[in-house]
Amino acid sequence: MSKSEKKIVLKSLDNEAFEVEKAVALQSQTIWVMCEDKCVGNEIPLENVTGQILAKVIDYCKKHAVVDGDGDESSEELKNWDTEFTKNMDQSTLFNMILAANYLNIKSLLNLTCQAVADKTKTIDEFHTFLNIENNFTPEEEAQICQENLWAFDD
Amino acid sequence: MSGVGRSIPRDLVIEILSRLPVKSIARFRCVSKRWASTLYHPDFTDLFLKKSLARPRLFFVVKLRGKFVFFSTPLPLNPDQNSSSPLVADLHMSFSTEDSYSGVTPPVCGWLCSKVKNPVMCNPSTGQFITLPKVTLTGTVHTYLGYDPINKLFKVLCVSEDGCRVLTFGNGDMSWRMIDCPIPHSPLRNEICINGVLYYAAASTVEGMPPYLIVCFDVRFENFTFLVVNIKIWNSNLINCNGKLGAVLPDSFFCFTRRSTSLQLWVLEDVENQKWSKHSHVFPPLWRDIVGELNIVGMTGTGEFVFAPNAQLNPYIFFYNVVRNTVRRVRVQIQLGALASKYGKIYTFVDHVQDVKLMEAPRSS
Repeated sequence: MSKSEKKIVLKSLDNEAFEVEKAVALQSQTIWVMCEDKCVGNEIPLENVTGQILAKVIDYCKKHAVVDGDGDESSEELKNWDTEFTKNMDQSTLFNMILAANYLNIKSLLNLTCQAVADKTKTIDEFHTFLNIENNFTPEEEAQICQENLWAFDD
Repeated sequence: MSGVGRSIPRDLVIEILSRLPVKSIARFRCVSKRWASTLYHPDFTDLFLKKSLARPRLFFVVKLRGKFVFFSTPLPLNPDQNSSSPLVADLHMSFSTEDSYSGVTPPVCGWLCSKVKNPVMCNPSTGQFITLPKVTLTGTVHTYLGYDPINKLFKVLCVSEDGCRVLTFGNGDMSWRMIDCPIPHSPLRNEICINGVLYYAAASTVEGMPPYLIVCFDVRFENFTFLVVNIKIWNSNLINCNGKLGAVLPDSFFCFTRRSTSLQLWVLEDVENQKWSKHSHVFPPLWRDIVGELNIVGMTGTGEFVFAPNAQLNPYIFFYNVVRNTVRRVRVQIQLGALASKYGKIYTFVDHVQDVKLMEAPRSS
């Protein structure tokens, strides 16, 4: 296999191009299907992902790729890397990562980012910002539904 | 970006929410009508249950005078992990009982049931509890909880010298029905429900019949099979061995101590022909590090035997891996606060799943 065949170019929504190893990109089921169908050349346009997010997705895929027996990272180390990876992302980046992971169909990244958002949503206020919602219960309804769930507020 | 509600598709929002702890779900159900309906919707509760089945938890029932308090914590799955920091168990709910001698059943598919004549079904993951109608049986009544995974229904079985009654929980109509029991028997402790079959040890009360029985109650079809067993199996603790019934006995006395050298295990291979396979596992030298008196409480999906003491407030849970021949221990912190001085006993269970579905309240009949 020649060198060019092992590489692939991913192009973001804002026309940023990333050249990556095929083994890295193929962790995305979406890209895998595109390559299988041979419906694309060596350059794959990704219409739903910005360059800023795509760069992060590629970082993740590089870390998780098993390239030529290079993937001997311990699972413990990968886990720590994953934690660091999402630790400092703000909410909007995380949401865009979730959308990208979903569009590109990378299960483990979707898992990781969904878990990261869940872990950062602890209080009702955080849940309000997360979903940008208003309380529309009547006082009676609120009293009843809170009575049902009273046990969850006792610490 | 203004709120994920508008920009992230609903199925992804549900993905995220299904990763929240049960307490957060109960809290967020109070946030708005739209989110209450999402968080009570079967799409969400089914996904949550599916995820929970893949990550079983240790479940603790702390018995105080006239009260039960429930705690749970994720089952530590990493076999190399020896506890450096303790696992803090989440407090779920407490549950009062007038009868201080009563107990509760082991949790079955997220629910458990109190063992009194007016049994109360409760789900520690939602805080919901529903009092069942009074059982009309005389004598000592033994209460068991089973789950039929095909029809997704719970059934409560009550057995006394007077006969057997069964109640279906979860289809709205809650009334006790009389069922036939071909062999009158006196049930003992020690029940377990595996794949729609409820097992418990019992003594036959029929003259001329071998006394030592394991009763198998098919939850779906509501019929009994009786296994005649030897006294060793009869005295064992029943556990779930990857979907089969297992019976575990220490080599001496009734619990495991540091002096125990091995573990006897019988596995029910064939119910119809009453065939058991027998295994003996010799403990590794590390076993001598264990402290106190331990009971076997079950087996993990990865084949580790789980042991727990029943009289320690912050218990060490021991995991014995037969294949690796290792013993590891994990400390669990159970925070009782002001109640700590009143605690009596702790019962530990493996394989607890969390179901956040709200059960429809029964129609009054």
